[in-house]
Amino acid sequence: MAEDEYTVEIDERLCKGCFLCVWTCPVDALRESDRRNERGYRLPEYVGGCRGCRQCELICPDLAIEVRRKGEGS
Amino acid sequence: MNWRDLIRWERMPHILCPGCGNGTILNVLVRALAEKFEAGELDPDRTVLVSGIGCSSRLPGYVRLDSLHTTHGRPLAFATGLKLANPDLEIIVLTGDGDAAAIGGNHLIHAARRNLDVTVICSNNLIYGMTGGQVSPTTPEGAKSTTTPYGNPEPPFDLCELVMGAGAPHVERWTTAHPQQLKRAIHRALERDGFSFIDVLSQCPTNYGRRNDLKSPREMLEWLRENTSTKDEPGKIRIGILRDEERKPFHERVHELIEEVSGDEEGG
Repeated sequence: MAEDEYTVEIDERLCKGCFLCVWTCPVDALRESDRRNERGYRLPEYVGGCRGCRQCELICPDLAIEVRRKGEGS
Repeated sequence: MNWRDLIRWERMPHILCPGCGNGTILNVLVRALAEKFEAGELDPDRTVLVSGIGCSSRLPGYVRLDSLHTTHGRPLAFATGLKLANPDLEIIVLTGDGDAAAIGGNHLIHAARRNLDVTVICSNNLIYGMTGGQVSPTTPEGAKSTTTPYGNPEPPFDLCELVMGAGAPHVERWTTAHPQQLKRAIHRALERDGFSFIDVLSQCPTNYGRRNDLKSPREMLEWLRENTSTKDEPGKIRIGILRDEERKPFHERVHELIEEVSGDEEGG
């Protein structure tokens, strides 16, 4: 399989574990993990396959997600 | 301008609950504003956020723009003064269903009637979230809240119909399950002169969902997605562009009148 063009970065300091990103992703590129951040919220994780629609980025209530095209800066 | 430059990161993470719809509204708003600033259509030094009281009204505190956090129900009253004194300001009012439709109901209809040139983004989460989940003017009939434990006996206000009835020229309704459409709606509202009203149906999992069998943010968004439609479907809430017209804004008429009257005095 070809390498993904995009990557999804989650700011663990901001995430509150609502998982709306997992709900909205049309290609199941995100899933719920058992890892928790320092405040005890369970975190989502990127499992690969992002096609760059950026719906997770836009729905995130905590502004914790950034979808990046690989090779690009911020 | 990158949207990241518009957030006061030193105040983040914000106080909103996990999965709060106000967070999505903040997210969409700063991206829409950053695009407008980047395109040179708006000036960050001439853009002001005005809010009242409630969870939605906390949002300006996280945005690196001039802002007014005013008294309960009165953001439109403050915005009226701002716009008349400084007509070149772009004013965005962030309010909620309790703030805009209950205690501020009069300000809302009269701002719409006068066609005050502001963009109103009303986070309509169907409940008083901040104070613990009391019934609001938009709580659906039969829904449970701390003050209607047996179900709400009152019919709710349709805020879009209300402001259209009062004369608002640009009215749209979206939900937090439609962030992309909401962003485009904010773009349109910022471009229009006159009173632009966006009713954003939003989720309060903590105080609305918990009492109405919609415990998780996800369930609430599914409810919003399933119970709304861009067509007139029976039993569904109509979303989309409900009215898009033009009418001369209030501040233009007032300033024309001032010019006319003071001209007369000088001439006479």
